[in-house]
Amino acid sequence: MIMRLHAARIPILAAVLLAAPPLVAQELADELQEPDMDQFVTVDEFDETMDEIDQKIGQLEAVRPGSRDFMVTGYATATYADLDGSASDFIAGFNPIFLFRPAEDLLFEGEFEFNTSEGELNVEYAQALWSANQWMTVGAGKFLSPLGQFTERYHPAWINPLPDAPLFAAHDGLVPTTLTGAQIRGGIRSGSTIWKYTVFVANDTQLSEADEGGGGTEGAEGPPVGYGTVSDLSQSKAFGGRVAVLPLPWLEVGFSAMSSSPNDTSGAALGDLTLYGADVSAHRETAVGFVRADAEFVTLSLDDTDTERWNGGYLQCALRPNFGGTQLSDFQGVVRYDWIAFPTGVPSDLEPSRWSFGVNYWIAESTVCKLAVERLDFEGEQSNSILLQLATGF
Amino acid sequence: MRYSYLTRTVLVVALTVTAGLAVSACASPRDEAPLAGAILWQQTCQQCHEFRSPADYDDQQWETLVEHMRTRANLPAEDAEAILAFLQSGN
Ligand code: HEC
Repeated sequence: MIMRLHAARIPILAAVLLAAPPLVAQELADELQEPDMDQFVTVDEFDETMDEIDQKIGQLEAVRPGSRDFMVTGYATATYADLDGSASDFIAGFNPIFLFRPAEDLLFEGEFEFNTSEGELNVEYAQALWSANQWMTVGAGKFLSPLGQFTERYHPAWINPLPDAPLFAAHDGLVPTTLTGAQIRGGIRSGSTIWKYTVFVANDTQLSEADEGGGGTEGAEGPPVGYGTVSDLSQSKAFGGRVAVLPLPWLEVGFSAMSSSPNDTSGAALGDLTLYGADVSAHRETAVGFVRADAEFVTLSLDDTDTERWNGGYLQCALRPNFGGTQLSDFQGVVRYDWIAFPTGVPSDLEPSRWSFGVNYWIAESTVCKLAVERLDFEGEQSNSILLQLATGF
Repeated sequence: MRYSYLTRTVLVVALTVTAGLAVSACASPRDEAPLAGAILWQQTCQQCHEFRSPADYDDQQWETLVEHMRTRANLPAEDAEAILAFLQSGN
């Protein structure tokens, strides 16, 4: 029995030898001939030889081609948007992600964004991460904003159950999409509770008092602010972070905050910006299927005045029905309500709000075909869009 | 202007204190045995997106990916380790 188990290692050795670079492999293989079973008198002797083989396998694995931890992943989309029957648009997106791990505790991650609607190549994020200890990772570079959940975690098209981002979290929304600076983050388990924290210091944000449209509302006027990521020569920096708790494995509640002194596009200081956010997400298998319920709310003010204050958020629920493992579970239904509001000083018909309804068909675990109907309420008018999107994560 | 620095300081202190509380929670005795990797995988890896099959990647790729997910999702290190072991045994 022992002999047979040990002998099973020989094909492994052969496979590893084949995979190793030829010169090194040859050298190591020369040192070690396949054992001749007749030569063993005792089990101990046999075990010794096998230990030697194990050692060599270890050495060979270290020189095996591909021992450099480099990967390309990412996602791609093809979207068709029909805006109230008046305009329509095909949009293609391709977001490769590069992951490189030069040492056990170091990870470089970078994502490029090619998008035909934005017409340019963007570095979505590019960050070096050092895992300092069990509960702390230090990151530096350009990273997705950790404020709230949507921007950092749900924006990739194969993850977001709807074809577009909520108004407040879109590229010209109320929260910055990316930040350039440094962050410290981690997760800690205490019994069955998990705590998560992220704190960052970053270049100050740039605000454009955007009326050129944005906020994901194609063709419509967007929210009043838009963040740009710029190099920051000023002395002041943006600070912030998020703290979250999972009292149950399927429930996460988070709070975010940021303080920044933004400039406008001409470089003039706009005063002090304070942002607070809250998010809740519950994702779990239920009697009717897998439910994803998410809500996020942000409020921000410039110069701590009430006249320059905005808020926004979204509520969303998605269900993948599961009636006895039928084909139905490849479908997903989703409903979302999202909005941006100005509590004071601005006529309320300038506040965009939107209802979105979607039906998705999951072709594979990370490939989904989405059909959504969206009804936007803005400037006293209502407009309907139909969006069709094929998204895949690779 | 002073007000803004005050606001910032309060923010940073509040965040640090909360982070500190979270860290100290880590020092409290664990009242549950570590959950098996498979259960943790089931609980954790479907939170943000659909499951990715253990068979999708080889052992080494999973090491890189779990590290990527550990930072992205702020996963406790011991959970990530257990999940990695499960993924590597399941591919
Ligand atoms: C907090 C949300 C979140 C959780 C929890 C999470 N993921 Fe992910 N996952 C993401 C995001 C976001 C991406 C897209 C990658 C990116 O944007 O960098 C992703 C991408 C992936 C990919 C595709 C490869 C890649 O890096 O793009 C794999 C595989 C994956 N996740 C596996 C896992 C596994 C295994 C777990 C459980 C340990 C897990 N995920 C838990 C958010 C999450």
